[in-house]
Amino acid sequence: MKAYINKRMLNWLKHRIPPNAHHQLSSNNVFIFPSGFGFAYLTMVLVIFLLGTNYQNNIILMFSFLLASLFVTTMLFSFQNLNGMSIKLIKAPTGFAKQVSYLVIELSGQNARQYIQFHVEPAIQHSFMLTSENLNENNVKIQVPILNTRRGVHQLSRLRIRSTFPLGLFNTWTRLDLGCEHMVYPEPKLPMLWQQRQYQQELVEQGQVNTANQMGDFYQLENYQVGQSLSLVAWKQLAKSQQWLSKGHASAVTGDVWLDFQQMSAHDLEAKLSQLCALVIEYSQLQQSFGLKLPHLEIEPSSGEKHQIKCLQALASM
Amino acid sequence: MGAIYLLIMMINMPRQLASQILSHVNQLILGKEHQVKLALTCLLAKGHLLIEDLPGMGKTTLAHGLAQSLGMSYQRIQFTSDLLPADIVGLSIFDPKTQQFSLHKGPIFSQLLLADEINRASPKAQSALLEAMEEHQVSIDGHSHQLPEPFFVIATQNPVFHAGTYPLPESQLDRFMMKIAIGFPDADAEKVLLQNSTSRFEQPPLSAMVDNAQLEKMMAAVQAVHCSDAIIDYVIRLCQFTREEGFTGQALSPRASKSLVNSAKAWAFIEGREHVIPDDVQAIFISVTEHRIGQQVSGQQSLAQQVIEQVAVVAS
Amino acid sequence: MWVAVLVNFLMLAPQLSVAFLVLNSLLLIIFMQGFRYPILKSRRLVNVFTVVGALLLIILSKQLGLMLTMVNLLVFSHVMKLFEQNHQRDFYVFNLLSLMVLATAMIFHQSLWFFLLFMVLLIISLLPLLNYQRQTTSVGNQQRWPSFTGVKPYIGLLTKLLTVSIPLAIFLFFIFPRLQPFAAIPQAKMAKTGLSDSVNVGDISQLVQSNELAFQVEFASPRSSHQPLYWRALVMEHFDGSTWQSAEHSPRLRAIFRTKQHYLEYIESQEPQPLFTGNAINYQVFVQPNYQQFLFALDVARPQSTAIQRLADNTLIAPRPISQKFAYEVSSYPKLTMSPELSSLSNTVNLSLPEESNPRLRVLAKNLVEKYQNRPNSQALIIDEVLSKIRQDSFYYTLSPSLLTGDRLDQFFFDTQEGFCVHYASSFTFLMRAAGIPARLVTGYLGGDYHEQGNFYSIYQKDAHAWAEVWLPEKGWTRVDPTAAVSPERVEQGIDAALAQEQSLLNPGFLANARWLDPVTLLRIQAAFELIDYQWTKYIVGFSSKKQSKLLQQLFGEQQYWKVALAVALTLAIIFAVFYLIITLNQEKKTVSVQEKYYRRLQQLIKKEALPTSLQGELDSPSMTVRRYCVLLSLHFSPLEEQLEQFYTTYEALQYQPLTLTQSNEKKAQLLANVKQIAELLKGVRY
Repeated sequence: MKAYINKRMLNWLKHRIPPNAHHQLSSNNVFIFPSGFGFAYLTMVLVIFLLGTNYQNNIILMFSFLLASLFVTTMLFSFQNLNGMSIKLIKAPTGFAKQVSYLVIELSGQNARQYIQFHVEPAIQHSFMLTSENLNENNVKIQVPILNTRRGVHQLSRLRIRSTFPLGLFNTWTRLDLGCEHMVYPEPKLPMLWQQRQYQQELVEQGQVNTANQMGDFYQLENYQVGQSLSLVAWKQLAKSQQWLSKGHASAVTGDVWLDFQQMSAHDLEAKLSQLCALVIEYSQLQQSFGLKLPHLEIEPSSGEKHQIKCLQALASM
Repeated sequence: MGAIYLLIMMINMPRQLASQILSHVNQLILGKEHQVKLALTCLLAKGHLLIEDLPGMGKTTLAHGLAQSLGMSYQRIQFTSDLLPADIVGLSIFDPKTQQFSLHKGPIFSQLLLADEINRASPKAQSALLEAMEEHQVSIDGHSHQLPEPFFVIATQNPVFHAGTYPLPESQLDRFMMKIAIGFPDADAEKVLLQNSTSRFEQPPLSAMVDNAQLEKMMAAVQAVHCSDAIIDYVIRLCQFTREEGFTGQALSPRASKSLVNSAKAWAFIEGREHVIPDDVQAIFISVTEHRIGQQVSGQQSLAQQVIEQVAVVAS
Repeated sequence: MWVAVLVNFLMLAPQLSVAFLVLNSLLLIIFMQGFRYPILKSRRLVNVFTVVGALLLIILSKQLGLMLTMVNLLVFSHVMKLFEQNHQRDFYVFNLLSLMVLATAMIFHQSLWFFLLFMVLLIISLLPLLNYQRQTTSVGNQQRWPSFTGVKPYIGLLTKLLTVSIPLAIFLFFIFPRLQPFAAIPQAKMAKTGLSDSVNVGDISQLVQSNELAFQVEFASPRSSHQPLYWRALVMEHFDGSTWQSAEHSPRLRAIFRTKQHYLEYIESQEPQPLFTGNAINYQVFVQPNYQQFLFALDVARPQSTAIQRLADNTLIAPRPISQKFAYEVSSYPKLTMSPELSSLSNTVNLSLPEESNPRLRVLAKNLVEKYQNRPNSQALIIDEVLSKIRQDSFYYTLSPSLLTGDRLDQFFFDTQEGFCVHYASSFTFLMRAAGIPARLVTGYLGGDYHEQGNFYSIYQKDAHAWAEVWLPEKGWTRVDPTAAVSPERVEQGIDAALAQEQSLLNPGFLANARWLDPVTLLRIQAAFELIDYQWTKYIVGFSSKKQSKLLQQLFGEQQYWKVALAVALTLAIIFAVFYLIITLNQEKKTVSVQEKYYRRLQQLIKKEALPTSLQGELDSPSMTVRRYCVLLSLHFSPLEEQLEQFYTTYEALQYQPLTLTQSNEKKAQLLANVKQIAELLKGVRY
């Protein structure tokens, strides 16, 4: 039932507040309704009114009328706190699963605004609500935290902007669709083999491993890299010293490493993607050139930040 | 009545001239009306023009045609990797007869300089030219020499990835008001081109359409085009957009925004209007800014195009 | 937050019992110290206090009465709520309690100054609500000492909020229908002030020193005569030698009549009642709360307000003790006789004297009776004789007479010969009764200060007075004021003149401390304040449902509720409309020019058309220029081509060309005409 209502609501909202990277808040898209406290307050006003009536006390009556009109005024002020604010999408949230990423928006408007809460629906925890105290300046940039739950490229759910300022009598809110994507990369998990390799590398640094050139057209033995063809493995060395080393060609130094989906050690799709993700990050940190092979997609080896992002996006949208 | 008509005529005269020049040059380069118009806009806005395209697309023909129709003294330098600065600006030579150094002016002492394949020259030679573009003067052996007015440079360059090129640094690219690409001709134009297959040298030289005085009048008229606050604001918004965090290209410099306004004025002038409208700004925006902003590496849409599409014409 | 509690608590302090005063103060101190010593806020200690408070309340409830118990409970729970702030709900309950406490305090204080004070208190009470927003954002420092600077902008904001609310509140106040009280309400058992219902010979004097306001009167038409104003309040017919009380207090009557009302109802049945004809003086009285039932009126009073009852002794009483400012209307008929016939019971009561008291007065009376025994009009002659005796003997009017013991009246009349109204009135009444003339003591107020600007009289406690009434055949009850014989100034010029020598006794007004002001200015300021307070009392405090219906009738003709409802709805609508206009104007003023407005109108017109989505998307792009917009449209709506072209050229001229004022006005008109044309043509295209 609740889900049905929610669905209807979202459908209605889609017409009411269509997706847009830029929104201007006005009476068309701001909702306002008395809060629980607002209703309690009204009840109290009624009680005071009855008290005044019963005591035939005009002062108390005046007081109750004043409180009642304060209610009305507060409604207008609450609305005004959001009204006229314009929200512009600066950066769509991007990040790794189970981590926090940020939606960056820019706020502008003429009024001084206070205590406005921002969160992307659904806010699971209080810590994912961002409250800004004073938005007096124009063009304030705000980062709204989002917990990345599932990997993938999702449509970003609505951004809820809410305020109960000034007296908490009214909830003023709006639910904006910024029409952007929420890109969640897989959660990076290094494969076991890789961790072993890192251990090896430490040994290399300590000079315990002989990396001398043994064969003519190899210029050195390298640490075996996950994804490298098994034919490159220096089996002799492996048998001798249990070191995973590979016979490196001169061209392999700049390294056309292929990260292959099929070769990942994990069994299910998500885990494989997680491993690939971790490897992409590792290689990028090592500033090594690498390519990515996915079932339906192949990215040519390259390096650099842009290449990393491209690979990660590919992983996210698998 | 007659006096008023004459007055209107006088005001309109530079505009008519502009369209005459355009049609004149268009006879020379077929099917490239827009590029020709942009090139003329750039010159009328007193800016230097950079034409980037593959060899054989008619870059030189365009520069040549423009210079001839505008009646300007015209020199051409073919930039090569062994070109020296002195080859551009000239040098003092000791004359044994007079026992004095006499100035031997380089090709830069002309009103319109065609710098062909500028990115083939070494950076040193490039910067000699670029300094002259900015200062409108050159210094030879410690003496500075004023360049003739007006002074334009039309530089052509091959696309950067061509072998043996020294790409122009960003700071120097900024000195060109516009960069245009000519692009392949369409089939019809190419057919006509092939039918009268005469080389540039066989073509009859274009007669000059205007003299120097008229050219100056035209440029003065361009400066007089009204540019309202709304337009200025629009230009500022466009530039601000590129300066924001999250914008991937280079930010536009104030020189760029000035170029935008000036070339928009020139465009409006050629269009026959006395005031600038946003359409003018949009028409010249990509040519003026693309070489400053830089191109997206693998994007389908140029960054400058994105800027245009995302910035609102009227402030909201 | 605790500030809000403190001030609210202080407002109600006079109504609280001492035990709770102490308890609440203690709690507040603990709460404040709790910032430093968290142990003081321990759950256990709070529980102990709750129990102590509850027990105290139960013990005190009998003594306090329902009303005050409730007040005590309210304030106590308000203070306790300070300690219990675990949830957001607690916080909200606390704030609602603040409002309730404030409202309760208003039962006890109704002057304008208090109302203004209440407004300040309201701001203080609402402050925590604003501050709460801050506290929730900065977690962990909820219990900070509030700093004034942090709160300052909020005070401004709240003041603004309240100021904006006031017009609507006033409107509601005058228009919103009043309900009748529907439940018996508990009254506060409060100390009675003003006149007391018994007069001890040697009493009243403490009243004389009080500058406190008793009531205010506004006459419907200017008074023509300058007769002294005798405001009757209580009639006392029983005298026991030292104290005057109402008749039913006499030992014999007490057995028959349980209350004053019983007795007077009986008298009413025995005596003909006045017919209330002839000239009447109409006036309205605003009584300050005094926790008594009797009211004040001139002779012979007929109440015009329904709630007020007239008793057989021609006094008025209110339905309940007056615990808050109370307004009523009265007509007085000065020419009427009171009780032309005297019932036998009344006759007996008003002739009875305590046995064997004051022998010397009795002798004097006997002598007088003998002296005028056979003369016609003997009663009038006796009265004259007594009054002239008072006038001629060395009687002296003073507020600090020597103490009297034993046969007090004898002592006063023959020995000390100094005293004030009660002494004179008592002795006179005693003499009359002893002489066989029915007589009784009346207390009330004499005179009043006239305020010219406000056209009203203020009667203060110091104006309290006692005089005598004697019953004469055919004349009925007739007022005789023996004090006038000794001190005519008291009657004619008021108490201040009578006490010229005893000025120092007067309780100075609240501004009297301002020594730098000269007395005249001081008086003027005081008068101005009093005027403002009077207007407040008259229009706000004294506003009744009767006045409301009168006002509504004036405003809307015949009273019809739908009209009133309509007016309320209209007003609300107007308020909203004005607010909305202000908002939109504020926004549009800064950004939208005329041409832009027309362009938007055009866009809206086009939006209504069913355009291909690709085209609509292109039209909506932010980079769309007006010219391109129009050109694109004219491709789709070819009949509009001409108009669209005209539109964009005019628009561009306005937006981008330098124009003179006339030119731009022309263009604007042209643009408007253009938009209209387009709208027309679009309609044509549709059908």
